[in-house]
Amino acid sequence: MKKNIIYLALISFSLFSCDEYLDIVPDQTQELDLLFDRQESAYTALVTCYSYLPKNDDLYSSYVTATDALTTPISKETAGIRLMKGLQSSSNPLMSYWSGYERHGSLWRGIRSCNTLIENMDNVVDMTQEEKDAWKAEAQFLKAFYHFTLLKYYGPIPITDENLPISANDQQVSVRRNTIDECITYITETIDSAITNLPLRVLNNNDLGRVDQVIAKSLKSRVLLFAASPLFNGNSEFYSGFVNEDGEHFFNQNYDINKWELAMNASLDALNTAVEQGSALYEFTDTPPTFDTENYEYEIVKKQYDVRFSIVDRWNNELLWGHSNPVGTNWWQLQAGSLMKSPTSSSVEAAWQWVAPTLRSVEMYYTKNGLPIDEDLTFDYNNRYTVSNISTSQNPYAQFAQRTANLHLNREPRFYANIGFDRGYNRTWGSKWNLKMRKGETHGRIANTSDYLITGYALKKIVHPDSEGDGYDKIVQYSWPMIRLAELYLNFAEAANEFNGPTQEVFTMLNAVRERAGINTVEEAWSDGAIAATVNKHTTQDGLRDIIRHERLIEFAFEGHRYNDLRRWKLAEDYLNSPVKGWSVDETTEDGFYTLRDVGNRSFNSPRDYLHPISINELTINTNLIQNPGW
Amino acid sequence: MQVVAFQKQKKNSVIGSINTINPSELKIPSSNLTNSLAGRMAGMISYQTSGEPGADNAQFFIRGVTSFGYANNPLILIDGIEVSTDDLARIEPDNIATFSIMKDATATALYGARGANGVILVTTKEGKAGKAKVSFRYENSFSSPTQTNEFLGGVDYMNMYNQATRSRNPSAPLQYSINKIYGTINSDDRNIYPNVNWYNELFKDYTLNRKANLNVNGGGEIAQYYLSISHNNDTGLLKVDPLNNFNNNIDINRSNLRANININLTETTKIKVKFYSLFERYNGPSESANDIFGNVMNANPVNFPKYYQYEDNLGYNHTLFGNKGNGGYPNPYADMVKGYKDRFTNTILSQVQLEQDLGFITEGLKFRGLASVRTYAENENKRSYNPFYYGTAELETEEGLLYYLYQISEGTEYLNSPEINNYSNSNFYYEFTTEYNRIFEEKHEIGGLLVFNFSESLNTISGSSDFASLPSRNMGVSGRFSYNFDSRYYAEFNFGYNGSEKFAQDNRFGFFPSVGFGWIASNEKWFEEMNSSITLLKFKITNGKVGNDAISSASDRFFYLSDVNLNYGDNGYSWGLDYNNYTSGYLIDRYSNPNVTWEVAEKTNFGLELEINKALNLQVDYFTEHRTQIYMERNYIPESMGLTTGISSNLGEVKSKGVDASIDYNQAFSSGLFITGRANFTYATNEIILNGDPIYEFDNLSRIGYPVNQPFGLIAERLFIDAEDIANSPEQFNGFSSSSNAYLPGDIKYTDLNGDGVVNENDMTAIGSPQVPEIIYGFGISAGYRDFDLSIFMQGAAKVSFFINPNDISPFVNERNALSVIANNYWSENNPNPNAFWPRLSTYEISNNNQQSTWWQREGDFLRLKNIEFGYTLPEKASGIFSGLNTRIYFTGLNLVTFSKFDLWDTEMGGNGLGYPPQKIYNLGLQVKF
Repeated sequence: MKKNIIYLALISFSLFSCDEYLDIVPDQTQELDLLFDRQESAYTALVTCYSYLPKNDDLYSSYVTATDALTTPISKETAGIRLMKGLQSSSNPLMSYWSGYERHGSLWRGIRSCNTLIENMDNVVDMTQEEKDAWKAEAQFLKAFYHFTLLKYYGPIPITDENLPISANDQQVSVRRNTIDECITYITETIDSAITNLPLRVLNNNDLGRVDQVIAKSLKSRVLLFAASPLFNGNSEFYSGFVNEDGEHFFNQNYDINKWELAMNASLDALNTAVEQGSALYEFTDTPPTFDTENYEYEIVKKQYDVRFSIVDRWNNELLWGHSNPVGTNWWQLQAGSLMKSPTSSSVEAAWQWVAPTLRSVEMYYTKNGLPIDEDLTFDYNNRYTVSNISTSQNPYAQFAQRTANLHLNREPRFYANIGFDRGYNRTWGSKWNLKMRKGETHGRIANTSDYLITGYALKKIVHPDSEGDGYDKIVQYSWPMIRLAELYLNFAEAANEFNGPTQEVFTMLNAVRERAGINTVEEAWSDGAIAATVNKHTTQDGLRDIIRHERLIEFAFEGHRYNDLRRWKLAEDYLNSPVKGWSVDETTEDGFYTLRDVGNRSFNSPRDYLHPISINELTINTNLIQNPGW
Repeated sequence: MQVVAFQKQKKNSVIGSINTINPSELKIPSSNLTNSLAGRMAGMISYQTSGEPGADNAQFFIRGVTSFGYANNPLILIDGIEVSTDDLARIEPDNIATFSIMKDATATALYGARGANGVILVTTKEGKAGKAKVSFRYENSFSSPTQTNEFLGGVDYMNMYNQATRSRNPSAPLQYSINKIYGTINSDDRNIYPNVNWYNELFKDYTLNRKANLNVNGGGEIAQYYLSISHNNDTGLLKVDPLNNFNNNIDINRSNLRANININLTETTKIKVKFYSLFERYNGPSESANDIFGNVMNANPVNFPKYYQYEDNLGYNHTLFGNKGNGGYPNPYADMVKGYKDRFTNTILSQVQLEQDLGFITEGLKFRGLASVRTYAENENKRSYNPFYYGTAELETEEGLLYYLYQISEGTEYLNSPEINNYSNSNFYYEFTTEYNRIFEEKHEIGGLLVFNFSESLNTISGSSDFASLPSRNMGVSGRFSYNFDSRYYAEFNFGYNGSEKFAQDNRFGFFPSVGFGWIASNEKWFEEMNSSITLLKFKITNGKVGNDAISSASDRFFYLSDVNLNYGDNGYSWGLDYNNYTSGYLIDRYSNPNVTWEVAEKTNFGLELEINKALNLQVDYFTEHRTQIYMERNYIPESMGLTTGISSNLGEVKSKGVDASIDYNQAFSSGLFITGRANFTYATNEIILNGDPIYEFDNLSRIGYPVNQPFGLIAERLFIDAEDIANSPEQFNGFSSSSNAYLPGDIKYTDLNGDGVVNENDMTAIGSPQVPEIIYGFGISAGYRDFDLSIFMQGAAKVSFFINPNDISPFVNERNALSVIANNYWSENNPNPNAFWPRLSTYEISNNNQQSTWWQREGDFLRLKNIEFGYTLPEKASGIFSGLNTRIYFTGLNLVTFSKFDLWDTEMGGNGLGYPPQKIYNLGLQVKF
């Protein structure tokens, strides 16, 4: 018996498999690998890659408000307005795509999710290789887009083409910034390689919003345009001392004109592909609402429909890439902040009426002759703030027999399409309003409400005319334009002028955009000595550069381009440093109202503010990271 | 013989650092054994912050807190089986045979990856052959708080409230009218002019507890038994509402049975069966009793009475609980009496052990096999009704002011359906041991031990995560090899090799070796002449590694697996014409990290044992520990890595060191007088070597080099004297520009430590002592003369600090109650004392004053008369039915006197000062043996 006990003990020792005993987790628990098991779950991964796309229609997270073009009352400041006031700091960066902000996740997470998909996609069993390659190409494109977005705000960034393993040690995770040129090369090569596997054009109703070759080529045009621009091309003025540990310049120090050629060619390629795929500058073809049936006869009214609906008509043929995940029926949409309150509606919960265009953006628009207001000899620039009677002929865009500032009269259709002014009109809430904006008037500030248009102007552009503000679900959603065809025309024009100087090609491209806007051609506008103050300005490279830039600022106003364009032209300190002006909205009388006052300030510390700061916390963690100059 | 890991060794041959205590020292008038640990054993750091019956476990650590990881608690074994802290708390001291703590690597290495935090090893009594011996004990005790908080009376409260209102805004309307104040002074109608002392309304002054234990032990050659039955009844201090037919006071009844039976099957084969069951029935308030104590702080004396009292209760058969305005003010009385919690738990442990002497193979060889099952189940029902709240309102009429009662909120007159919580677990443990011990040539003593064990624990936790509900398993092999030459030179090698289910396959098993050497100098030939006075002199040194695999919660195990949320809306996106082709995205909640493994503690111990005249006994140990691989979040992961959640890994490092010492003195005199003196002392300190923190811009923020429990905060200089003082000082927490934190003279002024011109979080630095005591000590003396005996035991803690939480006690904020101590010492225009206890009064929160700072930090040092016992043993009758009856009656006092600089509440409570206070106990006991 004693022996038996020993045997028993020995047997029980040997019968044991240690590994099996300690392996207790059942299979099929939620694991990352399972994500790339089958198409259905891999779709989740693809969606996640897209989810990091910037939401520019989001009121609080949007760069649209980060300019001198829009402003708000102090109590309603968005992050963009705070940024413009000079409240940026490295200890707690505003609007940081690097660290994530408000409702926007860090773009590095976006990049990681793209890499994860690219690295694992081949494991999916129920998809063909072509399908897998197409998804990978989408992720590749998005990865390039996220890199580019970071580059726009931070300049040189660490290229992250592969995910660092979780086990990476502290030296490995302390990545270094690459130079601007390396980043641009990486981004364009990544786009190029995505293009080979992307569908030519996504037109399937279910998939609208997914990237295709047209989108990819358009982005490449934009990337190369930025790369050729003064901020990034030979910027020894700002960044001669901005070097890495080896003394290498993060920003190339010598201007390279050939970068414009690359941008020009890429723009033309994108433009041709887009047009081949059926894109065109938008024209309103629907029937206008009954209240406008007669007005529609006027060219200036018809053009307003073309201009305004080019943004809000969902999936129109000018839209090359729309954000298909609009900020939902939620209070934080930019539209709600811009939508005027209806004086007759019982509920205005979704109409907030406090995002207002500044005087600067009002003055930006051309005159009816297609010239800047200070370049048009027929426009009384010096008396533009003087109030005068509105004549019958001006009735299509301002209320006959009422009085308004001269600034509001005789302007181009885009002005009337996008800006609501005192004694003008607004097509909103599905009807046409005669705007009366002085205090105590129908659309003026009521008592001391905090929701009011602080400049005395209302924004029409990004608000759908049929949006009604008595419920969030009655705001008409549309795909926020991330890339419009008009951009390719202007990208080309800008690049071609820089590379070749004024040529017919440049004029043709510019005129396409101007024609849709309802104004004359560049040549017509600038050749007539009776109208243009600087005759033939368009025939010099410098003059034409001004014209192209001005055209771009007007065409893409309030779409989130201005902040980036002003920076890449190195003009930000000229624009973003002056007080914001508006009418005196707390005045009831005409004289009182039409007195300009400062309604806020802007501060741009050059060259520091050309790039965003990396948060101190990040620099503390990653000692290999070099902070942007001035921060 | 001394109990060591998995076996017993001769006392002299033990070179690991083990402290064993006489179980009778653990006998205090408390039904919680952990309450008696502090100051009793060298090496044990322990303190108790709450006196709530059933929830009064003390915190205890062996040689201090040496890791900032998940668990710092020692491994607790009763008769070799791992048990919970609660199991330890419930064991009857009468049933304990030995109680030891194992501190160094040699003592704990056999426990491998579970031993790094030290081991508490308890064995229970076994039967001895002979006539049945019966022992019976009965105790009855009065229990009352060691200290209670004093609050302002209604009139003072209102005056001071009004003062607080004006203190920050001289034109603010007053909260309490003259009419209300005079009414409170003059009127007897407490329905209209309440003046409530909430503490007295809620709590009794004392409560009664009872305890009985009966044990029998005896047996013959074949079988011996030890049987014990105990019952105890603990009650709380809460009052019960006269209208309720249920009891909301704490009332705990516990019964336990222990049966240890040894059977000699043959001369060489022995079977031991141990059976233990504990049944506990808990009745208590539906809210936590600790919170109910805290709630007294949240209701002031004059807002409303606990309930409105009218003749015949106005015909209602519900209590008219007091409230105000639209309701929503906390009424602690209503919260206390509105319901009750009924919980029953049972623990059953069965254990069988077979011991086989294998002397027929070779002399000194033994085998042991052990299997045990422990099950625990807990069922809880919580029932409560919704109180009806009433308020009074004024009505101006022609005849003057009239008051009327109105209902604020409708309650229920019945108890709502119960909230049920169930939890159960089962643990299985198996162990096979082979032991070899033999002396060769009278000088060479060799010992060997090989243990194979494995265990499993199964859980049911309602609503727990996938991972938490999976079983935990552990298995390992351990061994010991010991050699001694001539009882002078000792050497020992120990190892543990074990694995746990938590880790990836490659990292599951770990090897933890240790070595130790001992030298008994007093056994040397040349020592002989000193042997008359120095009866033992022993030196020992050990070094080795021990692990800790309790590095995270049960739901955060299986580090080699990732955890992915496949339906995460925020990462969703939609496509399509109408944007309705929506899919949600995924979010990684945890990245897999197959490299995660246990913490490792490298421990070194230098020990000295000295015995003089067989009366004085001294043990001193100096120890160091280097804890590495502490599992923690890697703080140096930059955003650029793009992770959606932190990654944790085995990064942290802590070094600790300390001394523990004990001294015993025993002397019996021929006159019948005997004296025993004991003292012990533990000092353990540590410093963080690596905690993954980034290199801070300001050095003062770094925790490196500071103890694990080092508090950080601002340095408060004094209260601001005047506006000029404020203007000349750095801005604090944006207080100039933000109206919500505007501060005034009489508010706290902090040091701008980093000199950047502003005071904010960056000016924090290490302040005060750690929040776990670095020093615990105790000393006592027992003396007996003839039939009388007396023992006194003092216990203290030092090098510890805590914070008063100003958020909890700020008077008047949210109409909160006011502690008298604040009324006695606060800053005011009339008494602008820059060092007053309380800053300028306010009726709203002043965040400037509520920062963690030296202003609110207090030293937690204390010394208390922990235990005093006076006993009288009745003379034994030589004949008659009471012959052979040994009867002792005794009186015990617990926590009778405390000495401490801090006097707001019982110092040992630390930051939990508003909770259920520790208890002062007067106990009468009777013990009969025959």
